[in-house]
Amino acid sequence: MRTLTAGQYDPAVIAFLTMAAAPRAALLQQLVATTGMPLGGWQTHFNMGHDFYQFNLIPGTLIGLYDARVSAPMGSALAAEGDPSSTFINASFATAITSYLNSQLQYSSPSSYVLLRNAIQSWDYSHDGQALPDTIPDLAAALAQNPDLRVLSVNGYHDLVTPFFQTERDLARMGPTPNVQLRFYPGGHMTYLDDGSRALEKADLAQFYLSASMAP
Amino acid sequence: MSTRGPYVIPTIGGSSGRRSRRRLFFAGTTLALSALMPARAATSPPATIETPLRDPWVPPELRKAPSAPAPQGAALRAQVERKLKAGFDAADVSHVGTVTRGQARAAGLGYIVKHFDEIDRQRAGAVSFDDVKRFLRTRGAQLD
Repeated sequence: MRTLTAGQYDPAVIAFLTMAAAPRAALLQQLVATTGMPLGGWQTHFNMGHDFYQFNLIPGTLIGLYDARVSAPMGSALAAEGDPSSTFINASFATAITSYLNSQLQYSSPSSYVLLRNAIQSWDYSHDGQALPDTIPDLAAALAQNPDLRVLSVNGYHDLVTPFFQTERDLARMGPTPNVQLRFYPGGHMTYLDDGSRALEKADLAQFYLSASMAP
Repeated sequence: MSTRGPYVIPTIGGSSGRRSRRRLFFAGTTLALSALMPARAATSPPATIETPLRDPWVPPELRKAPSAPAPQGAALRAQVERKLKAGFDAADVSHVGTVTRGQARAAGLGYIVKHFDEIDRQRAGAVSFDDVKRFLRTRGAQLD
């Protein structure tokens, strides 16, 4: 899948966007075979966004955004907010953070803690003179300044919000960098919500902190 | 002025002597703090989530075709060097091409302050960007 994406799909999307070049039929067939998305979807939405994928992978079913393993019938309560994987956990997160603030931290404020909101719609993404931010130069500069800096990138295979392979490709631009480690787990954006992945992630974090504190 | 209300003692429970002593210690601390603060009950209202949520937002720029591939290799290293140089130049308030320890500190360039003596091999009291770059490269930085 990584090879297909980086070697064929990505260059074909760039050709499609820049020169309106139609994708080859063989590539479309490969995409159908590897993603399960019907041919019609790839023909009409070659530069496919997560939104189209969510609504059209399985007829009558909405796929989760933060965890694509979660799905719900269209029209159901779980699908009503556009992401069954978020709707499934939101109330638990809201209850937990309220309890954590009030009981554990004993922090009080007249305003509510807002877990998610649409402020991101008016976000100014520009950074370092570019309309689209690129944080890899920032990380590379930080590593140049501090060779003791250790970075652990934790990714869920089924996260459609910050897809793991894009992160992997972004970090790969720096070349071989022993200071940066990547981990991949079955799961969505919040990898720790998966009981199996949480145990693996805990062990990996313990190992990471140990190695970082043992570093010369 | 803190807006925190009276501290609630976390339930420690148990009846062993050790735990009881610990509870007493907490209680003592609580009383001392309470005396300094106005006693009023306060809790945060329930957390909220905005609906309908249109998250995640894809920046409009991302929907355009990239004008150039994302920099990597030599291009990325040059970009990193420009960033470091820009930080150095901002610290060089006298515009003489060198930065003193004090100037580096004032500009928040901790990595220069911390290693100033190693970078300033000539004991000149000021370092050039080339000095800094040489030092970073000896420590393994990927700079050309």
